[in-house]
Amino acid sequence: MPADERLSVPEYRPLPPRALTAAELSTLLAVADTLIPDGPAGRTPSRTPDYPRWLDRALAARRDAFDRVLALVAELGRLPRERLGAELRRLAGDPDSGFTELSTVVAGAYLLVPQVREAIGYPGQAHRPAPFDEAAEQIMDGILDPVIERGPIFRPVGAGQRPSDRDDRKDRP
Amino acid sequence: MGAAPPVDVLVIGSGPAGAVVTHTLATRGFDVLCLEQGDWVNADDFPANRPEWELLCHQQWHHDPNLRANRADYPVETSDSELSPVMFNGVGGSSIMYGGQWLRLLPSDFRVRSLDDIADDWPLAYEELKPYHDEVDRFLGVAGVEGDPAYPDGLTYPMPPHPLGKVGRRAAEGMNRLGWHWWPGANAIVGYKHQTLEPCARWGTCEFGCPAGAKASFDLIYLPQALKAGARLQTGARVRKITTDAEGLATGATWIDTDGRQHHQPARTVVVCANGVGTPRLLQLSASARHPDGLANSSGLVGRNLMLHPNATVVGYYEDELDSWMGPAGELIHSMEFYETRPEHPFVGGAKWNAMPMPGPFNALEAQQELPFDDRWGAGFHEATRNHARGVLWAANASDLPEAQNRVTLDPALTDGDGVPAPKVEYRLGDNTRAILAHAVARMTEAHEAMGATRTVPVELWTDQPGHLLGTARMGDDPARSVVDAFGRAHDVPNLFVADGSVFVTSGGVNPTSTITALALRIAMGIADGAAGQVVSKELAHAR
Repeated sequence: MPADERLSVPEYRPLPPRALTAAELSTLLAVADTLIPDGPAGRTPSRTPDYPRWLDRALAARRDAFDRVLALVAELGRLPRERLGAELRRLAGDPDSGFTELSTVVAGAYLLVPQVREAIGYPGQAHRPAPFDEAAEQIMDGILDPVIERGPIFRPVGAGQRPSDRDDRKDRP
Repeated sequence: MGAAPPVDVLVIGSGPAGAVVTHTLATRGFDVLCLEQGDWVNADDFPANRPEWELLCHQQWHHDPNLRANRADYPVETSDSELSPVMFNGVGGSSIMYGGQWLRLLPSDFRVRSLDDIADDWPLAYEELKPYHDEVDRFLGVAGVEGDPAYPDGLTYPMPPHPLGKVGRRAAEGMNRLGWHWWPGANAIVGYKHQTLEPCARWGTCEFGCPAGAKASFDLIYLPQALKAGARLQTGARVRKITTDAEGLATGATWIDTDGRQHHQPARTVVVCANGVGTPRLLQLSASARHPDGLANSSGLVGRNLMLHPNATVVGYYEDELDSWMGPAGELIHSMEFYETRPEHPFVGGAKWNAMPMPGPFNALEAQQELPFDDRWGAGFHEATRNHARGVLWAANASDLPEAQNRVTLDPALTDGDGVPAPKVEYRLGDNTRAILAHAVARMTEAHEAMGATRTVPVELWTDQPGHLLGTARMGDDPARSVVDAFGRAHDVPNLFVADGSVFVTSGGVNPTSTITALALRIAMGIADGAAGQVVSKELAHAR
């Protein structure tokens, strides 16, 4: 085994197995635009700056599906564009068509674009330690009082444990 | 085949159980070697360090080893199973990918036969395990709030709780409206620096690795202390077989290194901590003339009674921003309202619920994957992503009963990368478990309504969650009805122990790692305390 090969961790690669051809990119943009119109998150993918760069990143993250996605892209590239929407709708109804992987990549890429993330208010996963008193403030205002007042609810099994006073209650509507 | 000097104790697997056993015995002065088929994972490896983390979790960091297929993973044949058991194969085991939810079994969980006339009682009781729980909790720095009325008095936590956050507050307020039990989350995630753990930074990706090093994955705590105490860890070591002598006693294990070379490690005592799938696989791989049906299997129960804690969820979406990208996740709150058997329910047992955040816009999109095309794409895409910070996940962890036909065997055809037979899992949900899940979905939907949800998305069965692999080498007093005794010792092989989730008699409905580690500590202390009288193979009795 090569000295630098990892056993439990996949190798991180930011680029897909190969560069997209112009035709492939064109079809992927058309697919993306069909699924994601202008909206609150931003403009269509083809009119979103840097979208192709993030498409590469998404394809790299799903490199397991790269060949399948590109095979479907090749098929879709042969269709007249006006038939693309209907074909995507048909493919979405077939779990084995590859639509899931294709839509994951094009939508996933869109959600990586910084402007889109900003527009939808997604700050990303990051280091955000809690202020030291936040936990206490959130449970010390009486919110737990009703739970405590109802008392124990565990089922007794032997001596030394208080019996639950709720064993005979019915589910509340 | 390489030769090696014998060790006092050979531990197979470096997950939570293996780490606790290795640490406990090393600090008691034993010569301990732990074998692990995977290798170390670094905090900067985890997908949350990358913006595309959600996509990386689809396959490269998936919980299912069959999808992930790292070199350390072995395939699991699941074509006859309703669920795909998940696990992580590396130093720290599946704790790399658990959420750190840290609940104990309840007293009734140990007495299912006595109380509900089904399954079996455990050979130990809640009170007997409590001191071991307390010790593990102190070591890990478990965070929580004492006084949970779902538990007997005396359950305390060494660390204060994590914030409920907007998600937890919203869930708690809804439960109060219904008059249902809830309690702030109990998590093996530290809020402050503690031993070898760093403070939680609320990354929210606990189940895909903690970039902060705050979650108690056992590569970060217990194993480092074990190594400092003198234990050794051999990574890249896939155990092929536990070896035995003419009298049937364990003599060590044969393992395969990353270049395919076989080694034999002699050991006076062997402790198997390879999880509820890996352990029965290894015991069956260790069949010999004296143990023709697999090691420690005179009862025929090795591999049987697999319990997987099926999960159901209901996601609710709300009008206001709830910061659903904020951790920990972990549980923010839990509920034991529907945990205990009730006469009015058409099932015994129940489920533990936990409320969690829903980090990530792609997760929000995936939550509506069952919707029609036009509701999911086009304007539906924008609606879903708009909601990404407004989601609350209620999840129910259903108690699962032991059923002999749910089992792990050796697949006759499938093998791992070293040509070793792979495990085959056969698992079907029982009627009782199915009824618990249906009830939980209805009630979790009701909880969301009380919380003010505008839309709910139920999933009645998660087919790739959780990684709770239990029951396949159950403990008990009767050798005809169990594989190991109450201290993990194999009835058939007195110097062989099992110390992982395989020993569970019944599953309960709580996340099992707390119980697994308390049991592992009890088993390890039993080994240490009984060392003077321990029977070992004559081949090794005098070897040093």
